[in-house]
Amino acid sequence: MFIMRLFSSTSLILLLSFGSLLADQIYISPDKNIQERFQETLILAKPGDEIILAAGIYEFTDGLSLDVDDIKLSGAGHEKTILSFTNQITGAQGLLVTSDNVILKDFAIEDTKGDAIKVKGSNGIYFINIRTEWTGGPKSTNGAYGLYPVESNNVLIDGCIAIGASDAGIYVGQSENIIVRNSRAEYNVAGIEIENSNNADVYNNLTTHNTGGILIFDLPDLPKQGGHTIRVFDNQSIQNDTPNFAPEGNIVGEVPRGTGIIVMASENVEIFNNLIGDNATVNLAVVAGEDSDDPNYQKFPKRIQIHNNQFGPGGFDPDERGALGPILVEIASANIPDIMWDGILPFWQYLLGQPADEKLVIDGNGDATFINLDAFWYVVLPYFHQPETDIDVFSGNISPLPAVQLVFPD
Amino acid sequence: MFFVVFFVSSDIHSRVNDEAILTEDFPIKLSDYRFFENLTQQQPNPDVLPYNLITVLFSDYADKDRFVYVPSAKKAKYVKDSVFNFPEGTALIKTFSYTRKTDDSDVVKELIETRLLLRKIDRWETLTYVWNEEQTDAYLKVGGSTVNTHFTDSTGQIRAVRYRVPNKNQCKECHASGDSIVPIGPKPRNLDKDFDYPEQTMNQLVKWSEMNIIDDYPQDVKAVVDFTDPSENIEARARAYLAINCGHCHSPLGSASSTGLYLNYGEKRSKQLGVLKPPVAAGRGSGGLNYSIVPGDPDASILLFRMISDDPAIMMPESGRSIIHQEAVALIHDWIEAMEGEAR
Repeated sequence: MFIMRLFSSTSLILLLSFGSLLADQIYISPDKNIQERFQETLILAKPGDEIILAAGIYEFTDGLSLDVDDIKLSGAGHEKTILSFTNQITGAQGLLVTSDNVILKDFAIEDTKGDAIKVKGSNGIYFINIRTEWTGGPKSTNGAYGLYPVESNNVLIDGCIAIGASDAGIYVGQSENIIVRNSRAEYNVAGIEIENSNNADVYNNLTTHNTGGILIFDLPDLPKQGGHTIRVFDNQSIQNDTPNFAPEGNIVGEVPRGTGIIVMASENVEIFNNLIGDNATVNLAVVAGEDSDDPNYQKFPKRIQIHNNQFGPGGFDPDERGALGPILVEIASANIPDIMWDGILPFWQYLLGQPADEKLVIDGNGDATFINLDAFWYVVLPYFHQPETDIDVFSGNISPLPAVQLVFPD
Repeated sequence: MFFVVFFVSSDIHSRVNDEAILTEDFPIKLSDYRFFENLTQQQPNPDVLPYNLITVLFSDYADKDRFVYVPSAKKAKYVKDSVFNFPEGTALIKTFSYTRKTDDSDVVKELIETRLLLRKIDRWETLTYVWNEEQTDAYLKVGGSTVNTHFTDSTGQIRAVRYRVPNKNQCKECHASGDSIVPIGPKPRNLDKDFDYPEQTMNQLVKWSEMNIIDDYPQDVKAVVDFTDPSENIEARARAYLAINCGHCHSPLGSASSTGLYLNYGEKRSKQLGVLKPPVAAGRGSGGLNYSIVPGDPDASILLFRMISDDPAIMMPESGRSIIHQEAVALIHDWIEAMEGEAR
């Protein structure tokens, strides 16, 4: 009996070690024919494999893709292992990932024609110390997104750098359970954008020299709607001073140059402990979404809590671009307060008031200034229009949102 | 005795290699499957049936020869509004080629690649084989490949093409439906047409039924229209083209599900079909335009803008095309122009 037991436990150990032997480390270096060789490696990799990219510049002419679960793809550092798409001829992105539990670490993707890294429908995607960059500076011919997970669950973006995207440097769309932290986004139209997503923590990031720093958006006509439960804290969104260079027709084309943080149409958003300053149009704006005939679209922001943020100079040179800019300039002239709410509510709430638990709460933001544009009355009764500027009207108790817990198998 | 042996051996030799279709390994040569009696001439085995589709996917003006193989004693089942449910061991075979006229007016056919969809026990597998220069066999390529060649177009002009053989993941990009891979072409409505078989011309569905490839199917299959047929209704032509060229990704379960733009055959909601629908994550693909389709105004419609581009950040489809499909551009232009509705 004892021998039997010994035998069975030994065979278990053998099996486990055999299992780990099956997972390979595959080494890649930038030799000739890298396009076909690397793509073949990405296809033939087995779950558990680690693909290691040696330092060097890898030149690709066509987009790459990964569709195998449980893969770690790592380089020698984002300044050393560079996947360059300067000569790209085909492919809507540099790298497309469509599998689960994938770690992308320590490499850069440069100068793709479209998006840099798109991840679609993945459960468990880590971006660690990844850089995506268009090296020619901000241009409307740059690709749209740097780091672009969409329809994904359990997304971690940590220690990444995104530069030069003509839409958003870091863009998480239609996803759930998201952490974006310790990252830097600069010279993009939008630095970090969380769109139609829920349960997101965005913290300890630096967004600077973008058109707008951090965007929390909810848009109509998408399969996943009703973005909610998003915390934005301990970030610095400063000196976002790049003129908007998004190709027209894109929603971020509406963002005025010099915007720190915008919340549009989202629900349950907590913005705290951030440093927001030197944004020439407005440091922090909360606005309703555009009108839509989509019956599922909820265009009014609800339960937005803004507390304990520190504000630097803002609103000193507003950009008149887009739907927001001209109204801001007209109402508040050339000195726009730190926190701006457009004051747009469902019509019945103008008559009966906003439900208490949906109200905007602004508390403990030092000497921050405020304006409620009250845009509805501005349009309806401009002569009697008197925007609210008393920030204390909005003070109240903060109900902290829960921290995001990422769930990764193993 | 001699004759019996001869018969048996020749029979085995000409049979399709079922094991090659079902194996979990990847056979490295196209000849390993024994689909063809004469590989170079693309002369199929008696068990392998050529077929055609009414409206086809555009692939840089490449010609395509399609074949189906279903193991004997098995049949594909009819599924409403879908491809047939093919039994395990099925192979769908598609060879891509270009023809060009030489100086002395000979027509040369260059075989580029042969793509296989193989029905394993639990799933479809996609593999592609690239032809050698001698055109004697084709070899497995999982990582994709580029073939620079040229062809004679319908006006007699020689045109260069940078033809991309898709990698295995790109096969899935179009053939994905949720988590699984599915064939796109052989739907009853897209097969319901005549084919010139060596013996006679007859309807493909009738032939497939006769050859026991498919089980019973309803007699009221509503055939799609041939998008090139000017006698057909323009709406039906445009929808047929968009369904087969775009609808496999642009559907609620396809690779482009997140865009909310759905061009699959069954979609009836006008916003989802693109009418006055703003772009989502199009980047430069928007072309400075505000809507996928502006009724009556093709030049203001992103859908058309992306069809007339060959810039990888703009063009649609994202892969499988490097040349602009002029005939389709003309069709979609006219379709949008004829649409009623307030232009914005």
